[in-house]
Amino acid sequence: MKPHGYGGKVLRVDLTEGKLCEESTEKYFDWVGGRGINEWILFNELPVEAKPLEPENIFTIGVGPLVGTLSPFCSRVSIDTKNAFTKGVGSANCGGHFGAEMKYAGYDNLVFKGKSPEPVYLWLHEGKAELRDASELWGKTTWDTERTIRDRENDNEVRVIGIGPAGENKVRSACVISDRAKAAGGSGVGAVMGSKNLKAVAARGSLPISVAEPERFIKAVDAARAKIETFPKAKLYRKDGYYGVESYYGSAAWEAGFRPVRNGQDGYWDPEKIKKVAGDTIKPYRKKILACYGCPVGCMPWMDVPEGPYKIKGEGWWNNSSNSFCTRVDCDNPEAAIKAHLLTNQLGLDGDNASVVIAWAFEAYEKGLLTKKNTDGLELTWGNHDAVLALLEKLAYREGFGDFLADGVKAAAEKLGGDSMDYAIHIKGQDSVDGIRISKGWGFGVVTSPAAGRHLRGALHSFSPDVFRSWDNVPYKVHMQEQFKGILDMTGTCLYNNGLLSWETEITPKSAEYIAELASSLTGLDLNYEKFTRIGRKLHNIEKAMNTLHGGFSRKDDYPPKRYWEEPIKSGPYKGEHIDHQEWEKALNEYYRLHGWDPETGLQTREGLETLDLGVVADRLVAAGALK
Amino acid sequence: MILLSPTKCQGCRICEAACGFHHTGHKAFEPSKSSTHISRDNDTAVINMSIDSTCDLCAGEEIPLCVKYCAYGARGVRR
Repeated sequence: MKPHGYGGKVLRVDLTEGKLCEESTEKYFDWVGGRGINEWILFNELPVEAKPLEPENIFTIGVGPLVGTLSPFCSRVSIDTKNAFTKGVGSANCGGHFGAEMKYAGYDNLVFKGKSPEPVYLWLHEGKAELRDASELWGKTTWDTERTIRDRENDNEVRVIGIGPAGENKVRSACVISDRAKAAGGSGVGAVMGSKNLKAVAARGSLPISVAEPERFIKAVDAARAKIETFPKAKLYRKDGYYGVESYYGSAAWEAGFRPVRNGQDGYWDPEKIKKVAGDTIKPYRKKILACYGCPVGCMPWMDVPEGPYKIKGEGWWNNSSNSFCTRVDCDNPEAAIKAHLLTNQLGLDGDNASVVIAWAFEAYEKGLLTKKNTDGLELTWGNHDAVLALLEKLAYREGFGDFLADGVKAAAEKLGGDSMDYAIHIKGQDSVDGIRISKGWGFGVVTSPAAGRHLRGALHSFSPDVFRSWDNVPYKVHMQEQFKGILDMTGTCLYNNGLLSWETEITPKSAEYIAELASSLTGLDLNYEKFTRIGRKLHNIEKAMNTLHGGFSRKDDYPPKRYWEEPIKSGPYKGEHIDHQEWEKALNEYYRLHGWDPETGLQTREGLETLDLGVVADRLVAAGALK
Repeated sequence: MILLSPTKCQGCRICEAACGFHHTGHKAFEPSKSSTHISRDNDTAVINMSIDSTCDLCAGEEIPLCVKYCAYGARGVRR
């Protein structure tokens, strides 16, 4: 009998041989689900010497037990692999409707090894899995891929997750797109998928997900749903979407420096420009708000530019879109920015990563290191949104100057030389979109993230200036957030909408109480918040060890990019705001101490790992010479 | 009868999960048992809602579960 709350199976796919085999998810229950199971498999089976874009790399997709149930905010899919930028932890996450369908088709986690000789996609259907020819799909955008698979199955409810041309061409900023609009971005996960000749996974199923203790589960669901309704923002998100609510003109988010200006030369943008793309002013293009599976607080807009050169319509526009396609390249044309966002979805590019290398090229052009001769004739002047759109296409297809940029900002700066590395914004080798000088907890979490310069681990999400500017207790808060995010990713819960319940309050181990109650009553597993938090902490330590073993990272890699370390904010209400070096060192010491890691090296200790029953991890580190 | 407002629906499909839960006697989430179906055209964002003849207006439940769990006011009931 399959376990309560789960699809029930982990599917292993040998792409080289075209062979599939299954095992029970029960084998991995210590890691609950989603990212937990993915990372444990990677830790044990991914060879240290494997190169990210070679067949030896392993590519995993996982959903958690809460996905596909009545549990609120539970649609998330975790994609984990070896990071194409850093060789360390590669991890990305998205919502949508694919995750629930994958469970209804009978699967919790998918593990891909090797490389298919020809393009294929995986078809999951009512408990069965099959590799199918994708030669007809290769070269198609993510939108056309979904259309074609649905037409082939004559079923409009098939859910598709996959790559566009960017992934096929192994562009480092390639992401995996679910349901045309939800991007699992960062870590080059799309490039890894492309390197395996795996175009997509399509799912359709109607198998039952049973409930261990129905009455208790429904009580937990109803309690969570009632709590959500006590937050006024829930109603606002449903009406105007996340961006409409959190990025209106005058909101603190615009001044918090989350959106670096002109490749991070500044952290504050001209108010007249903000007005043109702010959450409230972009409203005419926002025709509807759409929800991920089972979400009671839909937040993603359907955008429509009805006419003109940027005519386009589709789902998608997020907070970072106004960073990637507005502030970072100094573009204030909302229609061009909407087009850019939807184009990245079609091409399978992560807007966060892609815009970093594009903005870097704009700055190199400004400084004369690049000229029209290098850029295929494009004038990379700040505000030239047409050049941004052209570069996105070139990047995805590795065409001309796009190929020069396609391996990320660090690789591009190494090739270009001069002083261009000084403003190549990367962390541990991965392009990083986040502005980190004003919001201290956000910045510290971004820089110490095992996924390298990403905001979906320990970064503190607060829009309150009193909170985000302060160093007060930052290491502890980041540590708590890391554990909490692990719990969210193991169960399949959304960080953003879950933020309604947690962002302006301090995360403590008890924050996981309601998730533990949901997961425990659904699955019958003995999970309370203390046990759950411990597993979250273990998961973070697994990733830390993988970064040590595979990426060779230590304390020296937990520092901000040179620009953010040395240059203060130049204008606006937070002019002069900078990263205090002493505060940073102090915070690092405390952060490592809280983790039980060695403050001098930033590496794990046997004592710290054994406290978490991870002696096996310590043994691996000792064997690799990374632990005394 | 169950009243449907497709323009209010944001396409989360929690009604399908809730409906299947009712029809399994609160034992499981099983889409094939759902009496209601939501589909979305990804080229236009137009959402279609439907209910088939297996709907029993959630006999035995205080209110139909699809109505209870819809957060968007897209469903109502006239019993």
